[in-house]
Amino acid sequence: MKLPIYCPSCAQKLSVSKLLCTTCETEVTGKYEMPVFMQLSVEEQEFFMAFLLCSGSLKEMATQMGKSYPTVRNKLDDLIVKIKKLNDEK
Amino acid sequence: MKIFTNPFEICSEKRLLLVGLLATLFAGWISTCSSTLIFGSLKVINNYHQSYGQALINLAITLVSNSVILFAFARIRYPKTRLIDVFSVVFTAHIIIYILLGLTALPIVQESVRAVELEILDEGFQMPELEKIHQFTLGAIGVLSISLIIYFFYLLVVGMKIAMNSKSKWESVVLVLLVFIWNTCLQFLNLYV
Repeated sequence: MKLPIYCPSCAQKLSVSKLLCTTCETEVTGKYEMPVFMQLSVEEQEFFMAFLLCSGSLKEMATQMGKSYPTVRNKLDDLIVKIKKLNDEK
Repeated sequence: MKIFTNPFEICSEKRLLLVGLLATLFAGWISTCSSTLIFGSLKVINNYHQSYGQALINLAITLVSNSVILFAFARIRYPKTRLIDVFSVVFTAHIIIYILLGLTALPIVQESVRAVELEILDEGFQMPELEKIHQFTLGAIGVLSISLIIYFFYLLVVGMKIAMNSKSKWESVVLVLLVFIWNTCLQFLNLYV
């Protein structure tokens, strides 16, 4: 299931207020900020994971994704910009 | 479909460059056989006799100079731009111009162009009369040529935007202007052999 990042009502960033242990059903409530990784879109998270699994080789990623090298490099550059922006917002 | 709308996204730069190089070798052969010259990227002229080697040198002048100009601009805007990506874009986009060259070299088109030339020589620019078949051929080739040139610019801009990770529209306009200006300069410089 897709984790919502933005509020469906006002489109503002969501934070975590409740955590649940699925074994003993203990609930923890509070106000936690989402980690940067979780603030990325599903597609960006998948890209990030693929990048790690390819040991950071863009060439290998391009082959696996069936895209050209500059397309993958541009995607990574855009992701870096987004992560920097999210970090600055903290 | 993506292969026609944006081959630079799905094909590796080496593959595109290889296809572009093979197309260039073929275009050189057409150029020699039909005595036509790609004069800058956007103009094809007739009655230009050249050997196969000369045709390849002439094509190389157009391709390399365009690549260098676009690479310089791309490098200023995005320092990670690679020369091989720019080369692959320029070589691939020029395949469309080679199609234009091939169309110009068709006997029926050459015949129609000759008919216009003869008509102008006989009658002058006042009321030259052409046969219906020549009118139709020239009209169809005209429309096709304009469409191909638009497609050439489309491929060039789409490819360059990927090569230089560009998101802004004004950079697309600058790319088109650069190609226009440089190819006009090429015609004035006339570096062709």
